[in-house]
Amino acid sequence: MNLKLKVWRQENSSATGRFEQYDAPGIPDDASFLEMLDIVNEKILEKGGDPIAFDHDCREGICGMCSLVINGTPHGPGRATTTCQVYMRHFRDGDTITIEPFRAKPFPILRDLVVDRSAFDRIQQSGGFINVRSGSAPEANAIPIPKNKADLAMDAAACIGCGACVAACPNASAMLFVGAKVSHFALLPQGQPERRKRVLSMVAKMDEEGFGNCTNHYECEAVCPAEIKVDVISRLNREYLAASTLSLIEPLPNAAAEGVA
Amino acid sequence: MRPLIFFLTSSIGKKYLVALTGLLLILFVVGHLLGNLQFFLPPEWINAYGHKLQSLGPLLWLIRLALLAVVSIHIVATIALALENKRARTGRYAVPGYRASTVASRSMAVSGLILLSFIIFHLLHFTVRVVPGHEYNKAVLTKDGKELPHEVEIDKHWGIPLAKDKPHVVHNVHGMMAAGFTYPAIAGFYVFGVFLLGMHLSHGAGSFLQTLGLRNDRMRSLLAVGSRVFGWAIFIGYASIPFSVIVFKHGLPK
Ligand code: HEM
Ligand code: FES
Repeated sequence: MNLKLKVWRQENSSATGRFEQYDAPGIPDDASFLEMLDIVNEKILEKGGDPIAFDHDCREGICGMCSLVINGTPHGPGRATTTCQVYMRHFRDGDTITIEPFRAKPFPILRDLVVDRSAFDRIQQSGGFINVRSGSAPEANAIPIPKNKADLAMDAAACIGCGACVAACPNASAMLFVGAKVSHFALLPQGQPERRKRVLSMVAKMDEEGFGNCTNHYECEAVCPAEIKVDVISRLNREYLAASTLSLIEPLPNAAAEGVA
Repeated sequence: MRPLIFFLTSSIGKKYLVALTGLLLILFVVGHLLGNLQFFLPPEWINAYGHKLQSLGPLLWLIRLALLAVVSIHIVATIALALENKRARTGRYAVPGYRASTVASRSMAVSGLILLSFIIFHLLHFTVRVVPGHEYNKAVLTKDGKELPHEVEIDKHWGIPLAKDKPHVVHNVHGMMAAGFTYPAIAGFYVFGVFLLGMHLSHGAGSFLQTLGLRNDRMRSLLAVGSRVFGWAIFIGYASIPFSVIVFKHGLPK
Protein backbone atom coordinates (compact mmCIF):
# COMPACT_ATOMS: atom_id res chain seq x y z
CA MET A 1 0.00 0.00 0.00
CA ASN A 2 1.07 3.58 -0.67
CA LEU A 3 0.71 6.13 2.09
CA LYS A 4 1.52 9.73 2.81
CA LEU A 5 2.82 10.70 6.24
CA LYS A 6 2.70 14.03 8.04
CA VAL A 7 5.30 13.68 10.78
CA TRP A 8 6.23 16.05 13.59
CA ARG A 9 9.96 16.87 13.38
CA GLN A 10 11.76 18.73 16.15
CA GLU A 11 15.54 18.82 16.66
CA ASN A 12 15.51 19.05 20.45
CA SER A 13 13.35 20.12 23.36
CA SER A 14 14.00 23.84 22.88
CA ALA A 15 13.64 23.90 19.06
CA THR A 16 10.31 24.75 17.45
CA GLY A 17 8.86 21.76 15.70
CA ARG A 18 6.97 21.47 12.42
CA PHE A 19 5.18 18.88 10.32
CA GLU A 20 6.98 17.35 7.37
CA GLN A 21 5.51 15.28 4.57
CA TYR A 22 6.90 11.89 3.59
CA ASP A 23 5.85 9.39 0.95
CA ALA A 24 5.64 5.80 2.15
CA PRO A 25 5.22 3.67 -0.96
CA GLY A 26 5.07 -0.13 -1.07
CA ILE A 27 4.22 -0.74 2.59
CA PRO A 28 3.08 -4.36 3.20
CA ASP A 29 -0.35 -4.81 4.87
CA ASP A 30 1.24 -7.04 7.47
CA ALA A 31 3.85 -4.51 8.58
CA SER A 32 3.36 -3.10 12.05
CA PHE A 33 3.16 0.65 12.41
CA LEU A 34 6.72 0.81 13.77
CA GLU A 35 7.98 -1.40 10.91
CA MET A 36 6.37 1.04 8.50
CA LEU A 37 8.38 3.83 10.18
CA ASP A 38 11.51 1.65 9.94
CA ILE A 39 10.94 1.34 6.17
CA VAL A 40 10.46 5.08 5.81
CA ASN A 41 13.60 5.72 7.90
CA GLU A 42 15.66 3.40 5.65
CA LYS A 43 14.66 5.55 2.68
CA ILE A 44 15.50 8.75 4.55
CA LEU A 45 18.92 7.33 5.49
CA GLU A 46 19.62 6.25 1.87
CA LYS A 47 19.11 9.86 0.84
CA GLY A 48 21.41 11.01 3.63
CA GLY A 49 18.62 12.55 5.71
CA ASP A 50 17.92 12.44 9.44
CA PRO A 51 15.76 9.45 10.39
CA ILE A 52 12.53 10.08 12.33
CA ALA A 53 13.17 9.46 16.03
CA PHE A 54 10.54 7.40 17.85
CA ASP A 55 10.46 5.31 21.02
CA HIS A 56 10.12 1.52 21.09
CA ASP A 57 11.50 -1.48 22.88
CA CYS A 58 9.66 -4.80 23.17
CA ARG A 59 7.43 -4.32 20.11
CA GLU A 60 5.04 -6.84 21.59
CA GLY A 61 2.76 -4.60 23.59
CA ILE A 62 4.14 -5.19 27.07
CA CYS A 63 6.87 -2.69 27.88
CA GLY A 64 4.99 0.60 27.40
CA MET A 65 7.88 2.26 25.61
CA CYS A 66 6.22 3.00 22.26
CA SER A 67 4.09 6.13 22.11
CA LEU A 68 2.92 8.32 19.17
CA VAL A 69 -0.35 10.08 18.53
CA ILE A 70 -1.67 8.66 15.25
CA ASN A 71 -4.38 10.73 13.54
CA GLY A 72 -5.20 12.42 16.84
CA THR A 73 -5.38 9.24 18.94
CA PRO A 74 -2.61 8.06 21.29
CA HIS A 75 -1.57 4.54 20.16
CA GLY A 76 -3.68 4.96 17.05
CA PRO A 77 -6.75 3.05 15.87
CA GLY A 78 -8.16 0.05 17.69
CA ARG A 79 -9.00 -0.29 21.37
CA ALA A 80 -6.58 -1.71 23.92
CA THR A 81 -3.53 -1.73 21.64
CA THR A 82 -0.13 -0.13 21.83
CA THR A 83 1.35 1.57 18.78
CA CYS A 84 3.69 -1.40 18.24
CA GLN A 85 0.64 -3.65 17.91
CA VAL A 86 -1.10 -1.48 15.30
CA TYR A 87 -0.87 -3.06 11.84
CA MET A 88 -0.96 -1.28 8.53
CA ARG A 89 -4.07 -3.20 7.43
CA HIS A 90 -6.00 -0.78 9.69
CA PHE A 91 -5.27 1.90 7.08
CA ARG A 92 -6.32 2.22 3.47
CA ASP A 93 -4.19 2.65 0.40
CA GLY A 94 -3.67 6.36 -0.28
CA ASP A 95 -4.35 7.46 3.31
CA THR A 96 -2.49 10.40 4.80
CA ILE A 97 -1.44 9.56 8.35
CA THR A 98 -0.60 12.34 10.83
CA ILE A 99 1.96 11.31 13.45
CA GLU A 100 2.65 13.51 16.48
CA PRO A 101 4.39 13.07 19.82
CA PHE A 102 2.48 12.81 23.11
CA ARG A 103 1.86 16.42 24.14
CA ALA A 104 1.93 17.44 27.80
CA LYS A 105 4.03 19.88 29.82
CA PRO A 106 5.44 17.17 32.12
CA PHE A 107 6.44 15.10 29.02
CA PRO A 108 8.88 17.43 27.21
CA ILE A 109 9.69 16.48 23.60
CA LEU A 110 13.31 15.28 23.34
CA ARG A 111 13.43 14.83 19.57
CA ASP A 112 10.76 14.34 16.86
CA LEU A 113 8.32 11.82 18.34
CA VAL A 114 10.33 10.96 21.45
CA VAL A 115 9.12 12.44 24.75
CA ASP A 116 10.69 12.30 28.19
CA ARG A 117 8.35 10.33 30.44
CA SER A 118 10.66 10.22 33.47
CA ALA A 119 8.06 12.20 35.43
CA PHE A 120 6.24 8.85 35.69
CA ASP A 121 9.40 7.23 37.07
CA ARG A 122 9.72 9.95 39.68
CA ILE A 123 6.11 9.41 40.75
CA GLN A 124 6.77 5.68 41.02
CA GLN A 125 9.91 6.29 43.05
CA SER A 126 7.94 8.45 45.47
CA GLY A 127 5.81 5.51 46.59
CA GLY A 128 4.80 3.06 43.87
CA PHE A 129 6.47 0.05 45.46
CA ILE A 130 6.38 -2.18 48.53
CA ASN A 131 9.22 -2.87 50.96
CA VAL A 132 9.81 -6.56 51.58
CA ARG A 133 12.58 -8.56 53.19
CA SER A 134 14.48 -10.30 50.47
CA GLY A 135 15.59 -13.88 51.00
CA SER A 136 14.19 -17.17 49.88
CA ALA A 137 10.89 -16.87 48.01
CA PRO A 138 7.93 -17.15 50.41
CA GLU A 139 5.24 -19.77 49.89
CA ALA A 140 3.00 -18.35 47.14
CA ASN A 141 -0.34 -18.81 48.84
CA ALA A 142 0.74 -18.16 52.42
CA ILE A 143 -1.27 -14.91 52.58
CA PRO A 144 -4.91 -15.39 51.68
CA ILE A 145 -6.31 -12.74 49.30
CA PRO A 146 -10.03 -12.57 48.49
CA LYS A 147 -10.68 -13.35 44.82
CA ASN A 148 -12.49 -10.09 44.09
CA LYS A 149 -9.61 -8.06 45.56
CA ALA A 150 -7.03 -10.09 43.67
CA ASP A 151 -8.93 -9.55 40.41
CA LEU A 152 -9.18 -5.78 40.90
CA ALA A 153 -5.51 -5.57 41.88
CA MET A 154 -4.52 -7.55 38.78
CA ASP A 155 -6.65 -5.27 36.56
CA ALA A 156 -4.83 -2.23 38.00
CA ALA A 157 -1.42 -3.92 37.79
CA ALA A 158 -1.89 -4.31 34.02
CA CYS A 159 -0.81 -0.64 33.61
CA ILE A 160 2.37 -0.52 31.52
CA GLY A 161 3.05 3.15 32.31
CA CYS A 162 3.10 4.26 28.66
CA GLY A 163 1.59 7.70 29.33
CA ALA A 164 -1.17 7.50 26.71
CA CYS A 165 -3.66 8.55 29.44
CA VAL A 166 -1.80 11.85 29.89
CA ALA A 167 -1.52 12.31 26.12
CA ALA A 168 -5.26 11.79 25.58
CA CYS A 169 -6.48 13.84 28.55
CA PRO A 170 -7.59 17.37 27.62
CA ASN A 171 -6.10 18.39 31.00
CA ALA A 172 -2.92 16.29 30.70
CA SER A 173 -3.83 14.58 33.95
CA ALA A 174 -1.90 11.54 35.17
CA MET A 175 -4.63 10.32 37.50
CA LEU A 176 -5.34 7.11 35.56
CA PHE A 177 -1.68 6.11 35.90
CA VAL A 178 -1.38 7.13 39.56
CA GLY A 179 -4.79 5.59 40.30
CA ALA A 180 -3.68 2.29 38.79
CA LYS A 181 -0.45 2.20 40.80
CA VAL A 182 -2.16 3.21 44.06
CA SER A 183 -5.05 0.74 43.54
CA HIS A 184 -2.75 -2.13 42.68
CA PHE A 185 -1.02 -1.98 46.07
CA ALA A 186 -3.91 -0.68 48.19
CA LEU A 187 -5.94 -3.78 47.35
CA LEU A 188 -3.28 -6.31 48.38
CA PRO A 189 -2.15 -7.27 51.90
CA GLN A 190 1.48 -6.67 50.91
CA GLY A 191 0.65 -3.04 50.13
CA GLN A 192 -0.81 -2.22 53.55
CA PRO A 193 2.25 -1.05 55.55
CA GLU A 194 2.93 1.91 53.21
CA ARG A 195 -0.66 2.43 52.08
CA ARG A 196 -1.19 5.92 53.48
CA LYS A 197 2.28 7.20 52.83
CA ARG A 198 2.13 5.85 49.26
CA VAL A 199 -1.00 7.71 48.16
CA LEU A 200 0.05 10.95 49.89
CA SER A 201 3.53 10.89 48.35
CA MET A 202 2.46 9.88 44.87
CA VAL A 203 -0.26 12.55 44.66
CA ALA A 204 2.12 15.21 46.01
CA LYS A 205 4.71 14.18 43.40
CA MET A 206 2.10 14.08 40.62
CA ASP A 207 1.04 17.64 41.47
CA GLU A 208 4.63 18.80 41.73
CA GLU A 209 5.46 17.41 38.27
CA GLY A 210 2.78 19.68 36.83
CA PHE A 211 0.19 17.19 35.60
CA GLY A 212 -3.36 18.51 35.23
CA ASN A 213 -6.47 17.55 37.16
CA CYS A 214 -9.02 14.98 36.11
CA THR A 215 -12.41 16.48 35.16
CA ASN A 216 -13.95 13.12 34.33
CA HIS A 217 -13.83 13.24 30.54
CA TYR A 218 -12.72 9.57 30.54
CA GLU A 219 -10.56 10.06 27.43
CA CYS A 220 -7.73 8.21 29.24
CA GLU A 221 -9.74 5.03 29.61
CA ALA A 222 -10.68 5.10 25.91
CA VAL A 223 -7.04 4.98 24.76
CA CYS A 224 -5.47 2.85 27.50
CA PRO A 225 -3.75 -0.14 25.91
CA ALA A 226 -4.08 -2.06 29.21
CA GLU A 227 -7.81 -1.29 29.56
CA ILE A 228 -7.38 0.37 32.96
CA LYS A 229 -10.82 1.58 34.06
CA VAL A 230 -11.48 5.05 35.51
CA ASP A 231 -12.60 3.19 38.64
CA VAL A 232 -8.98 3.49 39.71
CA ILE A 233 -9.33 7.30 39.74
CA SER A 234 -12.37 7.07 41.98
CA ARG A 235 -10.41 4.74 44.26
CA LEU A 236 -7.41 7.10 44.18
CA ASN A 237 -9.69 9.94 45.32
CA ARG A 238 -11.10 8.02 48.28
CA GLU A 239 -7.71 6.60 49.23
CA TYR A 240 -6.34 10.16 49.27
CA LEU A 241 -9.28 11.47 51.30
CA ALA A 242 -8.97 8.63 53.80
CA ALA A 243 -5.19 9.05 54.15
CA SER A 244 -5.47 12.83 54.59
CA THR A 245 -8.26 12.48 57.14
CA LEU A 246 -6.26 9.95 59.15
CA SER A 247 -3.27 12.31 59.13
CA LEU A 248 -5.34 14.85 61.07
CA ILE A 249 -5.78 12.37 63.91
CA GLU A 250 -2.71 10.19 63.61
CA PRO A 251 0.17 12.05 61.91
CA LEU A 252 2.63 9.96 59.93
CA PRO A 253 6.12 9.88 61.43
CA ASN A 254 8.56 12.10 59.47
CA ALA A 255 5.70 13.33 57.29
CA ALA A 256 6.86 16.94 57.33
CA ALA A 257 10.40 16.01 56.34
CA GLU A 258 9.11 13.94 53.43
CA GLY A 259 6.81 16.70 52.16
CA VAL A 260 3.55 14.88 52.70
CA ALA A 261 0.66 15.54 55.05
CA MET B 1 -4.00 21.74 60.46
CA ARG B 2 -1.08 20.85 58.16
CA PRO B 3 -2.82 17.79 56.65
CA LEU B 4 -5.92 19.90 56.03
CA ILE B 5 -3.95 22.59 54.19
CA PHE B 6 -2.12 19.91 52.22
CA PHE B 7 -5.42 18.34 51.27
CA LEU B 8 -7.19 21.55 50.29
CA THR B 9 -4.33 22.75 48.09
CA SER B 10 -3.78 19.38 46.39
CA SER B 11 -5.29 18.44 43.03
CA ILE B 12 -7.63 15.88 44.57
CA GLY B 13 -8.59 18.12 47.51
CA LYS B 14 -9.71 20.88 45.16
CA LYS B 15 -11.65 18.31 43.17
CA TYR B 16 -13.43 17.28 46.39
CA LEU B 17 -14.33 20.92 47.05
CA VAL B 18 -15.81 21.26 43.56
CA ALA B 19 -17.78 18.04 43.86
CA LEU B 20 -19.13 18.77 47.37
CA THR B 21 -20.15 22.34 46.52
CA GLY B 22 -21.54 21.06 43.20
CA LEU B 23 -23.70 18.60 45.11
CA LEU B 24 -24.97 21.33 47.44
CA LEU B 25 -25.76 23.52 44.44
CA ILE B 26 -27.66 20.63 42.83
CA LEU B 27 -29.78 20.32 45.98
CA PHE B 28 -30.44 24.06 45.88
CA VAL B 29 -31.28 23.99 42.17
CA VAL B 30 -33.81 21.17 42.70
CA GLY B 31 -35.42 22.88 45.69
CA HIS B 32 -35.55 26.21 43.88
CA LEU B 33 -37.21 24.55 40.86
CA LEU B 34 -39.89 22.91 43.00
CA GLY B 35 -40.62 26.29 44.57
CA ASN B 36 -40.77 28.02 41.18
CA LEU B 37 -43.10 25.44 39.65
CA GLN B 38 -45.81 26.79 41.98
CA PHE B 39 -46.08 29.43 39.26
CA PHE B 40 -48.48 27.00 37.58
CA LEU B 41 -50.72 26.86 40.67
CA PRO B 42 -53.13 29.64 41.70
CA PRO B 43 -51.13 32.84 42.44
CA GLU B 44 -51.68 32.75 46.21
CA TRP B 45 -49.54 29.61 46.48
CA ILE B 46 -46.31 31.10 45.24
CA ASN B 47 -47.09 34.46 46.88
CA ALA B 48 -47.55 32.78 50.25
CA TYR B 49 -44.39 30.69 49.65
CA GLY B 50 -42.41 33.82 48.79
CA HIS B 51 -43.75 35.56 51.84
CA LYS B 52 -42.80 32.63 54.02
CA LEU B 53 -39.22 32.74 52.70
CA GLN B 54 -39.07 36.53 53.09
CA SER B 55 -40.16 36.29 56.70
CA LEU B 56 -37.44 33.83 57.72
CA GLY B 57 -35.46 36.83 58.94
CA PRO B 58 -31.94 36.00 60.15
CA LEU B 59 -32.30 32.41 58.88
CA LEU B 60 -32.83 33.75 55.36
CA TRP B 61 -29.58 35.69 55.62
CA LEU B 62 -27.81 32.64 56.96
CA ILE B 63 -28.99 30.61 53.96
CA ARG B 64 -28.00 33.41 51.57
CA LEU B 65 -24.51 33.71 53.03
CA ALA B 66 -24.08 29.93 52.98
CA LEU B 67 -25.09 29.84 49.30
CA LEU B 68 -22.70 32.68 48.52
CA ALA B 69 -19.89 30.77 50.23
CA VAL B 70 -20.77 27.56 48.39
CA VAL B 71 -20.84 29.29 44.99
CA SER B 72 -17.58 31.13 45.74
CA ILE B 73 -15.75 27.95 46.75
CA HIS B 74 -17.10 26.16 43.66
CA ILE B 75 -15.85 28.93 41.38
CA VAL B 76 -12.48 29.58 43.02
CA ALA B 77 -11.63 25.87 43.11
CA THR B 78 -12.73 25.25 39.50
CA ILE B 79 -10.80 28.25 38.21
CA ALA B 80 -7.67 27.14 40.09
CA LEU B 81 -8.03 23.63 38.62
CA ALA B 82 -8.73 24.97 35.13
CA LEU B 83 -5.63 27.19 35.19
CA GLU B 84 -3.46 24.24 36.25
CA ASN B 85 -4.98 22.17 33.45
CA LYS B 86 -4.24 24.87 30.90
CA ARG B 87 -0.63 24.98 32.04
CA ALA B 88 -0.27 21.19 31.84
CA ARG B 89 -1.68 20.85 28.32
CA THR B 90 0.94 22.15 25.89
CA GLY B 91 -0.75 22.55 22.55
CA ARG B 92 -3.51 20.62 20.89
CA TYR B 93 -3.11 17.84 18.37
CA ALA B 94 -3.19 18.63 14.66
CA VAL B 95 -6.00 16.10 14.21
CA PRO B 96 -8.59 16.73 16.90
CA GLY B 97 -10.01 13.51 18.23
CA TYR B 98 -12.38 12.91 21.11
CA ARG B 99 -13.41 9.41 22.04
CA ALA B 100 -15.24 9.62 25.35
CA SER B 101 -15.67 13.24 26.43
CA THR B 102 -18.73 15.29 25.52
CA VAL B 103 -19.39 18.90 24.56
CA ALA B 104 -20.83 19.31 28.06
CA SER B 105 -17.76 17.86 29.81
CA ARG B 106 -15.38 19.98 27.75
CA SER B 107 -17.28 23.22 28.33
CA MET B 108 -17.79 23.06 32.12
CA ALA B 109 -15.70 26.18 32.75
CA VAL B 110 -17.39 28.17 29.98
CA SER B 111 -20.92 27.05 30.86
CA GLY B 112 -20.14 27.76 34.52
CA LEU B 113 -18.80 31.27 33.93
CA ILE B 114 -21.69 32.33 31.67
CA LEU B 115 -23.99 30.77 34.25
CA LEU B 116 -22.39 33.02 36.85
CA SER B 117 -23.26 36.14 34.83
CA PHE B 118 -26.79 34.80 34.50
CA ILE B 119 -27.04 34.20 38.26
CA ILE B 120 -25.92 37.80 38.94
CA PHE B 121 -28.53 39.20 36.54
CA HIS B 122 -31.17 36.89 37.98
CA LEU B 123 -30.49 38.16 41.51
CA LEU B 124 -30.65 41.80 40.38
CA HIS B 125 -33.90 41.05 38.60
CA PHE B 126 -35.94 38.97 41.06
CA THR B 127 -34.16 39.28 44.43
CA VAL B 128 -32.79 42.83 44.60
CA ARG B 129 -35.45 43.90 42.07
CA VAL B 130 -33.51 46.76 40.52
CA VAL B 131 -33.87 45.96 36.82
CA PRO B 132 -35.85 49.03 35.72
CA GLY B 133 -39.31 49.11 34.20
CA HIS B 134 -40.67 46.10 36.02
CA GLU B 135 -43.73 45.11 37.92
CA TYR B 136 -42.67 44.81 41.53
CA ASN B 137 -46.06 45.72 43.00
CA LYS B 138 -47.49 44.39 46.16
CA ALA B 139 -50.59 42.24 45.96
CA VAL B 140 -53.31 41.36 48.37
CA LEU B 141 -53.13 37.70 49.25
CA THR B 142 -55.85 36.04 47.20
CA LYS B 143 -57.59 32.71 46.98
CA ASP B 144 -59.27 31.40 43.82
CA GLY B 145 -58.60 34.72 42.17
CA LYS B 146 -60.53 36.64 44.85
CA GLU B 147 -59.19 38.59 47.76
CA LEU B 148 -59.36 36.60 50.94
CA PRO B 149 -62.61 37.44 52.73
CA HIS B 150 -60.82 37.71 56.02
CA GLU B 151 -57.88 39.82 56.78
CA VAL B 152 -54.71 37.88 57.10
CA GLU B 153 -51.85 37.87 59.51
CA ILE B 154 -48.77 35.71 59.23
CA ASP B 155 -48.09 33.28 62.03
CA LYS B 156 -44.78 34.31 63.61
CA HIS B 157 -43.51 30.79 64.18
CA TRP B 158 -44.57 28.88 61.05
CA GLY B 159 -44.97 31.76 58.58
CA ILE B 160 -48.41 30.50 57.60
CA PRO B 161 -51.13 33.10 56.76
CA LEU B 162 -53.75 33.15 59.50
CA ALA B 163 -57.28 34.46 58.99
CA LYS B 164 -57.55 37.68 61.04
CA ASP B 165 -59.14 41.08 60.83
CA LYS B 166 -57.19 43.25 58.37
CA PRO B 167 -56.00 42.54 54.81
CA HIS B 168 -52.40 41.40 54.78
CA VAL B 169 -50.38 42.73 51.92
CA VAL B 170 -47.63 40.47 50.58
CA HIS B 171 -45.23 40.74 47.72
CA ASN B 172 -46.79 39.63 44.41
CA VAL B 173 -44.20 37.06 43.33
CA HIS B 174 -46.51 35.54 40.71
CA GLY B 175 -47.18 38.89 39.05
CA MET B 176 -43.50 39.80 39.13
CA MET B 177 -42.49 36.56 37.39
CA ALA B 178 -45.14 36.87 34.68
CA ALA B 179 -44.37 40.56 34.10
CA GLY B 180 -40.62 39.89 34.04
CA PHE B 181 -40.93 37.33 31.29
CA THR B 182 -43.07 39.48 28.99
CA TYR B 183 -39.78 41.03 27.78
CA PRO B 184 -38.57 38.60 25.11
CA ALA B 185 -34.92 39.55 25.70
CA ILE B 186 -35.19 38.74 29.40
CA ALA B 187 -37.12 35.52 28.79
CA GLY B 188 -34.56 34.57 26.16
CA PHE B 189 -31.58 35.23 28.44
CA TYR B 190 -33.27 33.24 31.18
CA VAL B 191 -33.86 30.27 28.86
CA PHE B 192 -30.24 30.52 27.67
CA GLY B 193 -29.01 30.62 31.30
CA VAL B 194 -30.98 27.55 32.33
CA PHE B 195 -29.91 25.81 29.10
CA LEU B 196 -26.30 26.21 30.24
CA LEU B 197 -27.32 25.00 33.69
CA GLY B 198 -28.87 21.89 32.08
CA MET B 199 -25.71 21.28 30.08
CA HIS B 200 -23.47 21.87 33.13
CA LEU B 201 -25.50 19.33 35.10
CA SER B 202 -25.80 16.79 32.26
CA HIS B 203 -22.09 16.22 32.97
CA GLY B 204 -21.85 17.34 36.60
CA ALA B 205 -24.74 15.35 38.07
CA GLY B 206 -22.94 12.07 37.33
CA SER B 207 -19.43 13.35 37.56
CA PHE B 208 -19.48 14.38 41.23
CA LEU B 209 -19.89 10.75 42.35
CA GLN B 210 -16.70 9.76 40.51
CA THR B 211 -14.85 12.68 42.11
CA LEU B 212 -16.10 11.83 45.60
CA GLY B 213 -14.78 8.30 45.12
CA LEU B 214 -18.26 6.77 45.06
CA ARG B 215 -18.42 5.36 41.53
CA ASN B 216 -17.48 2.06 39.96
CA ASP B 217 -17.77 0.45 36.54
CA ARG B 218 -21.17 -1.12 37.22
CA MET B 219 -22.74 2.36 37.48
CA ARG B 220 -21.26 3.46 34.15
CA SER B 221 -24.36 3.50 31.94
CA LEU B 222 -26.74 4.36 34.77
CA LEU B 223 -24.72 7.48 35.61
CA ALA B 224 -24.09 8.44 31.98
CA VAL B 225 -27.82 8.27 31.15
CA GLY B 226 -29.09 9.45 34.54
CA SER B 227 -26.85 12.52 34.49
CA ARG B 228 -28.12 13.61 31.07
CA VAL B 229 -31.76 12.95 31.95
CA PHE B 230 -31.36 14.92 35.19
CA GLY B 231 -29.58 17.87 33.55
CA TRP B 232 -32.09 18.25 30.76
CA ALA B 233 -35.05 17.73 33.11
CA ILE B 234 -33.74 20.67 35.13
CA PHE B 235 -33.57 22.72 31.92
CA ILE B 236 -37.12 21.82 30.86
CA GLY B 237 -38.45 22.51 34.36
CA TYR B 238 -36.97 26.00 34.60
CA ALA B 239 -37.55 26.91 30.94
CA SER B 240 -41.23 25.96 31.16
CA ILE B 241 -41.93 29.14 33.17
CA PRO B 242 -40.78 31.84 30.68
CA PHE B 243 -42.07 29.59 27.88
CA SER B 244 -45.58 29.54 29.36
CA VAL B 245 -45.56 33.34 29.71
CA ILE B 246 -44.27 34.09 26.21
CA VAL B 247 -46.28 31.44 24.36
CA PHE B 248 -49.44 30.94 26.45
CA LYS B 249 -49.53 34.31 28.28
CA HIS B 250 -49.78 32.36 31.52
CA GLY B 251 -50.16 34.61 34.56
CA LEU B 252 -50.86 37.77 32.55
CA PRO B 253 -54.10 39.76 32.89
CA LYS B 254 -56.68 38.42 30.43
C1 HEM C 1 -26.26 26.57 40.26
C2 HEM C 1 -25.10 26.52 39.79
C3 HEM C 1 -24.18 25.33 39.68
C4 HEM C 1 -24.34 23.98 39.92
C5 HEM C 1 -25.59 23.28 40.39
C6 HEM C 1 -23.08 23.33 39.64
C7 HEM C 1 -22.84 21.98 39.78
C8 HEM C 1 -21.67 21.35 39.42
C9 HEM C 1 -21.37 19.95 39.58
C10 HEM C 1 -22.29 18.92 40.21
C11 HEM C 1 -20.13 19.73 39.09
C12 HEM C 1 -19.41 18.38 39.02
C13 HEM C 1 -18.33 18.27 40.05
C14 HEM C 1 -17.47 17.05 39.81
O1 HEM C 1 -17.47 16.48 38.75
O2 HEM C 1 -16.76 16.66 40.72
C15 HEM C 1 -19.63 20.97 38.61
C16 HEM C 1 -18.39 21.13 38.02
C17 HEM C 1 -17.91 22.34 37.57
N1 HEM C 1 -18.49 23.58 37.77
FE1 HEM C 1 -20.32 23.93 38.48
N2 HEM C 1 -22.18 24.27 39.24
C18 HEM C 1 -22.81 25.50 39.25
C19 HEM C 1 -22.27 26.72 38.95
C20 HEM C 1 -21.00 26.90 38.46
C21 HEM C 1 -20.42 28.18 38.21
C22 HEM C 1 -21.10 29.54 38.44
C23 HEM C 1 -19.19 27.96 37.72
C24 HEM C 1 -18.27 29.08 37.33
C25 HEM C 1 -17.01 29.03 37.13
C26 HEM C 1 -18.98 26.52 37.65
C27 HEM C 1 -17.86 25.87 37.17
C28 HEM C 1 -17.65 24.52 37.18
C29 HEM C 1 -16.53 23.84 36.56
C30 HEM C 1 -15.39 24.49 35.81
C31 HEM C 1 -16.69 22.48 36.82
C32 HEM C 1 -15.78 21.36 36.34
C33 HEM C 1 -14.84 20.93 37.40
C34 HEM C 1 -14.60 19.46 37.33
O3 HEM C 1 -15.27 18.75 36.59
O4 HEM C 1 -13.71 19.00 38.05
N3 HEM C 1 -20.11 25.91 38.14
N4 HEM C 1 -20.58 21.95 38.83
S1 FES D 1 7.26 -1.21 22.22
FE1 FES D 1 6.85 -2.24 24.08
S2 FES D 1 4.76 -1.84 24.28
FE2 FES D 1 5.10 -1.05 22.30
